Order: sequence, then structure tokens, then C-alpha cells
Amino acid sequence: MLKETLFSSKVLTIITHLLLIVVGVTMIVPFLWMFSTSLKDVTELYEYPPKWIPSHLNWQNYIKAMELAPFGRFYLNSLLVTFCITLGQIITACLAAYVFARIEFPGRDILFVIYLSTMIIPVQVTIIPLFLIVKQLGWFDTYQGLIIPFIARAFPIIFLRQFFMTLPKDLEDAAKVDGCGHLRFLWKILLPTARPALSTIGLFTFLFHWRDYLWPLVITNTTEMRTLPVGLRYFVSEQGTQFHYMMAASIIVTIPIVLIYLFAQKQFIKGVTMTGLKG
Amino acid sequence: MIGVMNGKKSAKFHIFKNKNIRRNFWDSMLFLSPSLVVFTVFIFIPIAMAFYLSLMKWDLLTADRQFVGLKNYIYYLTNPFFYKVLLNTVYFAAAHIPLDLIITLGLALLLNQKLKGLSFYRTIYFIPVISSMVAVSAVWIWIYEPESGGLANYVLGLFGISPLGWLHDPHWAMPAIILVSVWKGLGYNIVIFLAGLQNIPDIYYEAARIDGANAWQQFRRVTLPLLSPITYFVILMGIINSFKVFTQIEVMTPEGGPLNSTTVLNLYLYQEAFHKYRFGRASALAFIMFAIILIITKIQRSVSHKNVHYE
Amino acid sequence: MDIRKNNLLRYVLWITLLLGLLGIGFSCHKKAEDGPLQISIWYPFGGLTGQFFNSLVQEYEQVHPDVRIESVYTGGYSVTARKIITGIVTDLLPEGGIIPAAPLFTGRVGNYRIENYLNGSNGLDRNAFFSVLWDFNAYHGRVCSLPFANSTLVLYYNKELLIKNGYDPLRPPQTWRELEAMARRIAGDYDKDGNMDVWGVVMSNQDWVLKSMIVQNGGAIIDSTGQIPLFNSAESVEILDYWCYLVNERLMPMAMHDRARAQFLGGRAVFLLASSGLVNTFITTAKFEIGTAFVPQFNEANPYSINIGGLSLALFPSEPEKEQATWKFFKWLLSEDVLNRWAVETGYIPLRKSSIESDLIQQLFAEYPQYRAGFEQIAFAQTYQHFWQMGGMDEYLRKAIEKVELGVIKPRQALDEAAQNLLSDICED
Repeated sequence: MLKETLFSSKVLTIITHLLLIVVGVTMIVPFLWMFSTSLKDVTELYEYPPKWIPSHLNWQNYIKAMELAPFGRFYLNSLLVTFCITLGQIITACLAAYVFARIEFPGRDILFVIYLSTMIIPVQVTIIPLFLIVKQLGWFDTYQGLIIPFIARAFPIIFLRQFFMTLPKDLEDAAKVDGCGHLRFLWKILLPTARPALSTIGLFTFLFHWRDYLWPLVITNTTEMRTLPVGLRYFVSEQGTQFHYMMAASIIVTIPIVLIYLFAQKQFIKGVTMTGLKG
Repeated sequence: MIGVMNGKKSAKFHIFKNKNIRRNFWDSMLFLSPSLVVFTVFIFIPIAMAFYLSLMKWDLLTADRQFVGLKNYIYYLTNPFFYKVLLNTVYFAAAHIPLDLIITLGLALLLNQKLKGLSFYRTIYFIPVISSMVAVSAVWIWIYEPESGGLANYVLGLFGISPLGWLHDPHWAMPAIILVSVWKGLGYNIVIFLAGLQNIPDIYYEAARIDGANAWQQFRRVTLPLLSPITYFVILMGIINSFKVFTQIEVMTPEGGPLNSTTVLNLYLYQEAFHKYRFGRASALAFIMFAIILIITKIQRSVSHKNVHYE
Repeated sequence: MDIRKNNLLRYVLWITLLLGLLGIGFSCHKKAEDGPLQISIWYPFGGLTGQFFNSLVQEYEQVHPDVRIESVYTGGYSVTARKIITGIVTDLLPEGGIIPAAPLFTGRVGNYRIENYLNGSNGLDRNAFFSVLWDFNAYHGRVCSLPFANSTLVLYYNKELLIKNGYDPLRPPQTWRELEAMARRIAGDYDKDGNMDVWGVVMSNQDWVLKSMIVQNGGAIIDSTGQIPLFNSAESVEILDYWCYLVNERLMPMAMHDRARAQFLGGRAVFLLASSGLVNTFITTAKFEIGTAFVPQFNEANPYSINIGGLSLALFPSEPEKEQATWKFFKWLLSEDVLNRWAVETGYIPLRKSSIESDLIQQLFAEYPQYRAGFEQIAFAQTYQHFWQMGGMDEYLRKAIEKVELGVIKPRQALDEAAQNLLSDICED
């Protein structure tokens, strides 16, 4: 009996790994091609039938790609801008989500629907009015212009509200003990409990704005103000995209984020066990 | 409009009941003010301006503008091409959302086990989310090479299927785009589902096991119900994002695909605004899109209202 | 104590909020400008072209230390158009730029200021340039931008494939009949797997090819006022019928024009019709030797002709001092030496009539004869003036071509439909 369950659990483990590996391969194959392209000579880019292994490993593509544009500066800008946006969004979202999840006042639900509906309007039509406003504020080609319009968004608010609503009632009992106000309740009790949700939404916000391309390109003019996604387009040209450089730069740009994710992932799990929710 | 407004409001707020309502109101205002200020200045005002624009005939560049009332709206609602585009969008959403949901939930369940090496997979699945769409789409265009040399057709060949035109075939362009979208976004929902799964206390599973429930029954009776707020959220975001899908379509089929088979609402809007410079009309399209998404999320709400559980 | 702490947090929050609001209100600041005159120029070139343009800017700054030029990369062509529109609406345009469809963003909004400079005491001799360039840069008959990065269509061919099949690589086809005969012999499904291994001809700017062929066949694209589409005449239908025939005979792939460059560079097509601006990229990227030639004639009875395309220099309104400085920079860019170097580095056409005789260009021809076709062809180029719906027209033409290639409708219908769509756009705007 015991043997049987052990055996079946082993089989299950193997099946699980097999499934995960198959999906993993599909996830990774396009990147292998990207890597292979990044090492190719320019004459091999369009070779047919395509070759997976370049005849010669052109590692200097990476150096050349980095020299084509000030990627160090772009990197710094991207980090600064994305970090500030993420921080801002988390703060504004915690406060707003708390209200929507736990305080009742007249008009709250209507306001929530209005918040939610901001996600539905496509940026294509609001980008020009937004640009007008930012210009009016004198924020053209500045960090404020890159950051402040984005420090509050509906997505993290809704996401955190969901989590605040699912948190168990025992928390409220604890708060009941003293006449603890909203801010304290939020700060001392809800936030520590919502740690995994916070790191998740932080990660999403970070990634979403890390990739943003259109707004930074429109709102900045000087090279010193530009961000990485704009930098990656420096290789794209109507006269033939320099795929080998573009792939090299993409890989260099992606790797640190993968590492951050590896680290952040541990934080999620830690966050979960720390709250003691697991029983 | 959002199903997460559950019916237990008053029970939830009981702890603050004896505090006066005024204080609640002012606290709410204080808490909401940062987001409210940002929303007003950078979202509501631009939306209001766009709405004003939607009642005009104006290319924005010249002084020549004309108030046309609802004409822009009527133009789309009586235009057969609009309905074709709408149908394409619905096609994308109807295929993408369930596909994405099933795959990510399945993977999240696998990844939620206590096995070694899972964090490795989690990272791998997340790489497409991180990577830049320009570079990735260049790779996928190569994968979808319409003749025999492409990777996708090579894989089909292994199963004895003859090569497809993929992005160059009116029937296969949309499925090809959907496939890339699922591939690119998989990691997102896995993270959300994992966070939700980890929030389900073990006691529920133990209780179910004592009742003699097998794995499938545990999934049906414990996981699914307790995960339902998360699932609801994922579907809601799926609807909103699918109806607004743009980047991958614009990069891979900038002209809207063979015979307009991948022209979705947002791409159509973009073409109207930035190819034909009809900003008034494009704004009207945006508000029509808005209404459509609103209606669909409303339907989603009433469907899932009974099925979403809170502790 | 708890309550006090709680209140403190509350106050901090209120104060932060107020400060934030104040910050938004008062942050309208102005950068103080000292030192040399600063002008800003937008350009849409990535890659090597962008690099070379920047080096030109630096060179100019060294010679003219009194001016600082901020050259701003504005993304690809379509994003550049977006940035320009946003710039016009919000009054945040640069002093100048290299802009696709520039007359639409200058002449159409009443900006003809370039005329004054062009005709002024420090002007340019228009006759030194090919006259077609001034037609190209006109809106409603008046010049409103300057030519700079222009190209024509050329025929690229794979010399190796020609040699392998017994053709003289120095004698490319001159007419479509010749091209068709050569393509028929070379193209084929060699391994008999049902897929073509080598195509006869591929086209990367199909709408441009169509327009050029129509004009060569004696047809027209649009009337001189830009109001009446003329591309659905019998001459045009004849072209599209032939086009259909090429697809049916499996000499040209069906509706795959965005893959044309890759197909040609991968050695999977004998002939490619594409912009002459690609010659530099092609020479460096292809594994085989590339030849170029004039676009073949469709109707041998008619004189040779080709359509040009390209980007122009646009001068936007600014302070007189800056406008003057921008004009000077433009004039420098259009000076013979700079133009010739620009042509050599990028493959864009040298725009002055005398350029082709210059040592630099002759040297280039000696080393890379592939440049010759594009550069010489401009003498036969023609164009229609910019009109507001021209982008829409090209889109309709591409859709028409696609429908015909996929066999959804007949050429006649397709062109009529495109003309109908364009006409209703024109009437509406």
C-alpha cells in the first residue's frame, strides 16, 4: 500500500517534470534563436535554410551593440523611472485599495467603477491630450514627465483590493481590541499580511513600465532622458534592421531583470510563510 | 460592473460602525486623494478632451474643425467594416482568454507542488514576459516563415502536416497571433494564480482529505472555489486586455493581416487616427470600444456573481 | 499614544499631498539658455544611416562653433509622424527635421517659410537639382520642404543564380517580358516538395512598384489637384492583370511582400524590386553577389519612367535667428560635397545634377557598380504632388494588390474599389 503510493507519487513527479519541461522548451526556443542571431555575422542573418550555429561566434556584436547608443544612461534612466513609478503606484494603490475594500461611504462603488473604467480607454486617443497637459506643466523632456502621470493606475488598485477583500476576518478582530484608526490598521496589519500581493503587483508594475516605449519616445527629446526600450529601437531601420545587434542588446537588457525576478520570486514565498496564513 | 462587490458589505464594515461616518468619509478622501489627483489630471481630463474631440470633425493639425454631434458614432455603427473588426476582436478574445486561463491554471497547479527545481521553471516561464516585444516578434516572424524553412512548419512536418502560411494566410494569421500572445503572457497569470494558490490554507485540503476526497475532488471543492476571486480577476483583466490588444498585432502584421484578418479594434483606431488623421472619429471609436468592454464585463459580472467566493 | 501616532501619520500624509499639489502647480520652469545658439533637428534613421547623420551634425558643429545642434532620433517613420503631429498640436516642434511626407506637415498647415529662404539672397540654385525633387516637395503647387533622402525603385538581382542558369550577369532584363522569361527558367521547386525553392521575382514595396508600372504603361495615379484618383484606368488594370498572371504562373509568391527582402537575401528569389536606398545594406548583408538595374519597362513603346519616394527637410516656425541657423545647416547638408558623401554612405540618391560626374561618385561606381542604377534612374523619375490622403491611397492600393493576389476579386474590381474608397475619403475631408 505504502509502496504503491510512493510509486504513484514518483510517476506523478516524473509526469509533472515532463510537462513542465515541454512547456519550458517552447518558452526558451525563441530565445535560443535570439542568442544564435546575436552571435552571427551580418551576412548570415538571412541565410537559408537558417543555421542554428553561426560559423563564427561574433562576441564583439555585444560590444558594438552597446557602443551604438549610450545604453548605460538608458539603463539608469529606465531603472530610476520605473522604480519611482512602481513605488508611487504601490503607495497610491495601497491607500485607495484599502478604501475600496474596507471603508464604506456614499458614492464609493460608483467611484470604484470610474477607477476601473480608466483601464478600458485605449491610450491612442488620450496620448495627445495627456501630452498637452504635461507640456503645460513644463515637464516636457524631464523625469517628472516620465514618472508623475503614471504614479497611480487602476490595475494595482483593483489587484490589491482583491487581496484586501480575501484577507480573513481574524485580522479585524485583532484590530478591534483598541480603537485603532484606518491608517494604523492598514499600516500595521493589512500591509504586512498583503506582502506577497504587494511584491507581485510591484513586479507587474515594474515590468509593465520597464517595457513602455511610446510615451518615453514622445515625451523626451534628448538622448540623456531616454529609456531602454527606446534604445532598442535604434537598431530598427527602414533600411534593414541590424538584427544581430538588436538581439545582443535585448539579451543584455533582459538578463538583469531575469536575475531580479529570481530574487523577487523568493520574496513572494518568504512573504507567504511569514504571514502565517498557511495554517 | 465588477463582481467583486460582494453582498456582504455591511458585515465587513461592522468594526468601524461605532466610529462616526464623517470621519470615515474624510479618511477615505485622504486615502483616495493621491490617486484621485493623478487620475484627474492625467486620465480624466485627457478622457474628457478625447470625448469632446469625438463630437468633432478635426484632424488636429489645421484650424478647420467642425462640430458634428454623434455623426462619428453613427459612422461606425453603420459601417460593415467596423463589424468585421469587432468580430476579429471577439475572435481574439474568445480564443485567447480560455486558452490562457486553462494553460496558466494548469501550470500554476503543477508549480504549486512541493518539488525541487520548480523555481527554475517559474523563472523560465517568466522570461517571455520580461523580454522586449520588438526583438521577440522578430524571432516569431522567423518562426512563422510561411514556406518550408520556418520552425513552426518544421514542427508541423514532424507530425506529417504540410506547411502553413501562418501570418500570410487569412485563416491562420489570427491563430498565429493568439499563439504568440499566449506564449508572451503566460508568466503573468502563472504568478497571479500561484499567489492565489499559496493563500489557500492547508487546513481546507486536510479537511477534504479526511472526507476522503481524491485529487480531482479536492481541486473541484477546495481549489476552484477558493481561487475564484483570483480567477475572476484574471478573466476580467483578460477581457480588458484582449479587447485592447495592439502591440503584438501591430508589430507582426502592421497592415492588419491578409484580407484584414487581424485588424482588431485598437489597430483600426490607430489607423484612423495616425494614418488618416481623423482624430475626432478615432476618439468616437475609442468610446464605442469603451462601451463594448463595459457591457461585456457587466455580463461577466452577472455570470460569475454566484460563483465567486470570499472567505 | 496609539492615537497620537495615528494622527501624526495622518498629518504627514495630508502635508505630503499638499506639497505634491503645490509642486504640480509651480513646477513650470524654464531652462536658462546661454552660450551658442541651440537648434534641434529630428531624424528618423536607426542603424548606420542614423550614425552617419549624427557624424554629419558633429562635423557641422566643429566648423560652426556658434551653433549647437541637438539631433533627436524620433523612431521609425510612423512614430516620427506621430511625434510631428503631437508637436504641431502642442506647439513643441523642433527647428527642423528630416520628415517622411514633410509637405503634409508644412505646406498643408500653411508653413511655406522655406520658400523665402530658398529664393532669398542666401538661397539655393534650384536648377542644380533634378526638377522632379521640387515637384515632390510641393503642396498645392508651392515648395514647402527640401529634398534630402530620396530614393527610387531599382531591380536587384542575384548574379549567382543568373550565372548558374547560363545568363550573362552583366545583362539584366530590360523589359518585363525578358524578366519573365529569365524568371521562368530559373525559378522552380527543385526538391519537388510542393514548395518553391527559388521564386522568379519578389517585390518589397508593392504599392510603389504598382504605381511606377502604371505610369510607365501610360496611366496616371492622381490628377494634379490631388482630388481625383486616376489609377483605375485600363492601363492600370493591364498591369494588375499581368501581376495576377505572375502569381498564377508561380513566378511570384502570393501575398508575401513583407518577406521579399528576406527571400531575396536568402537566395530564394532571382529578382527583387525594392528601394534604391537599400543598396548599401544589401551589398553588406548578402552572401552572393548582387547586381542592380533599372526597373524593367512594361510598355516598350513608352519612354522610361519611375516614381520617386523619400524624406524631406522641413523647416518649422521658430525665432528668426534660429530659423536662419537651421536654414544654414540645411544649405550645408545640400551642398555638393555633403550630399555626395551622404549618398555614398547611405545609398540615398545624390540629388544634384552634377553629382554623378563627381570624383567621389565615380569612384563609388568603380568600386560598387550596384549604386549606379539608382543614381542614374533619377533622371527619369516623376512624381505626383503630396496630397492629404496619399497615405490612405497607398494602403488601399496594397489591399487591392493583396485581394487580387489571393484571388478574392478581379483586378478591375479591386482598383475601382480602391479608387472609390480614396474618393470618399477625399470628399469627406
